[in-house]
Amino acid sequence: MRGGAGRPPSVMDRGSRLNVYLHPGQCYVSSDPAAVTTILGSCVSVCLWDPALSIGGMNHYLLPYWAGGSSASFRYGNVAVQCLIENLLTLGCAQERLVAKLFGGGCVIDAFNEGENHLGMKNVRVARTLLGEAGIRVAGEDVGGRHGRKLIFQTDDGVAWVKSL
Amino acid sequence: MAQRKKEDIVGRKKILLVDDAGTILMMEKMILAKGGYDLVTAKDGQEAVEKAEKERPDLILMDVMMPRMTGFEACVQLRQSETTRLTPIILVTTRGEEGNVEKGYQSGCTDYVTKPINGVELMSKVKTYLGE
Amino acid sequence: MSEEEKGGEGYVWKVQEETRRFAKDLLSENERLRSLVAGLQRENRDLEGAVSTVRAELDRRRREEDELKRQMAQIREENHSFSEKYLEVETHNSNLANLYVASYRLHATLDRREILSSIQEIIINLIGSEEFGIFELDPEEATLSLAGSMGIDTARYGRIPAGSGKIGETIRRGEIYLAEGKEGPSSTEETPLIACIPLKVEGRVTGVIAIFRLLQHKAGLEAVDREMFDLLATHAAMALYCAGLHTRMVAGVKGGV
Repeated sequence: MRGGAGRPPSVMDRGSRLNVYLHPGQCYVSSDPAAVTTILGSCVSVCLWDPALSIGGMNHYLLPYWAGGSSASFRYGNVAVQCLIENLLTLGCAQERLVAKLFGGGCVIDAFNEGENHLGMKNVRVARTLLGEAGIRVAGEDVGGRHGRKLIFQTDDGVAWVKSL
Repeated sequence: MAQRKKEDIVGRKKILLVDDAGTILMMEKMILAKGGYDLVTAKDGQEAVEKAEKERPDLILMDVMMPRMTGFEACVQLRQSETTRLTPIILVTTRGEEGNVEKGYQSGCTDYVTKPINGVELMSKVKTYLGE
Repeated sequence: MSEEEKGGEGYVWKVQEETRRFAKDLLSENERLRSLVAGLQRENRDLEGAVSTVRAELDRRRREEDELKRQMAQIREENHSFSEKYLEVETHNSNLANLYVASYRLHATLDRREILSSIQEIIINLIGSEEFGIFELDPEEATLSLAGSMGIDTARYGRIPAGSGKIGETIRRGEIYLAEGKEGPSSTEETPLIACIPLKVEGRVTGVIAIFRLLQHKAGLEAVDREMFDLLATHAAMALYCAGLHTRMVAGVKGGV
């Protein structure tokens, strides 16, 4: 993963990217270059990118699984990850070329709760499982921990900037 | 930590709900009642700070836009007090924009949820931050 | 018999003797080998027996493992469907809680101002909008007057004719209007109307709630929102109606004294 904490995104933007803010439960995919920003606590964002076409997208989900029913939405990991992949394929991306980055799943309160079973890690696990099943490589991740994160993902070059909150 | 252990022995965790809208307080109470928590309420930020000091809740669920003292201001004060320095605070925000959410984190909140509140999501977050 | 012949006989005898011994050796060697083969065969049989025992044990273990895997898959499946059920029930509960809270708040008071503030709280917090108006209908004048609102131009909407546009249509039809095909704030219309809810008392329209825009992060209307609209249509109207009656009654009692 290129880029780290702290550097202001506006420096890199040079006005050529569309700035998009992603709310919890939303998913963004576009063939036009965009800098997608979101803020994550225990939620997780999956960034997906096709280097050959310079197209990417990102989601932001709150809960790991929606197993059925009528109101399936991007608020659930399994739905959000599946849709992100499908939307990119619709834009002509090739699944075997897709590269993923994972962020969030943090805000662990104390040592007693640092196990694998808190909401944040459950959210991370569902992404790892689904990406694994789809044969998509995870090129980088910044997950868990005790803090929130501000994430900016550039859909054209796949660069992700993370700032601890 | 000592206080948390004490709560464990008693067996019930305490949550402070803060909102000036009675509708929201009632809704939050209905959702969280199933978790078997002790629920205390406050109508604005000022009252929240006072109640938190007295009641020593295990978690605070707080609205942002309130009269007298906003959720942001209350967050800052709560973080300055030894009693509530480490208490998880979940902010409930109507405006989910970047600046607003970032300000919440700068004020010291632990996480945020957006209105309208989704019962399942709220319960999951609350359980997580209570270590359940 | 010459010496030579004697010598020759001796030689033949010697050869015969050696041949006999050789044959005898061969026989005994043969015997030894046969018994060796028999021994090896026995050993082989024993080994085969042992192998098949091991193989049987292996098969048994493999079957056991398969069975355990199947049980685990079943448990996982049950777990999955359990959490599916749990989510469904919890979502349903949460939706019911919303509706219960709304109806409770609407009928908890006879104070018109409090009812209006409850309606506002319901729209802001339970539906998720900060651009809406609550209008009351004056049937004689055919106008709508704004009783409560948030985020809209009160000068523009303070008093409007009841007959025009989607709002007028909602009053005439007495049915909830939902914007089609654009379930979100993406509309380019000047004043996009997301939903318009007629307030009805015993089938008579007494006003409308017009929702112009949903909160930015709310993707669209969900099933529970439609249920909430149904609830508002009857309960908000009835609560306001009762408050009106109550006010008149109190005024009447006071006037009577």
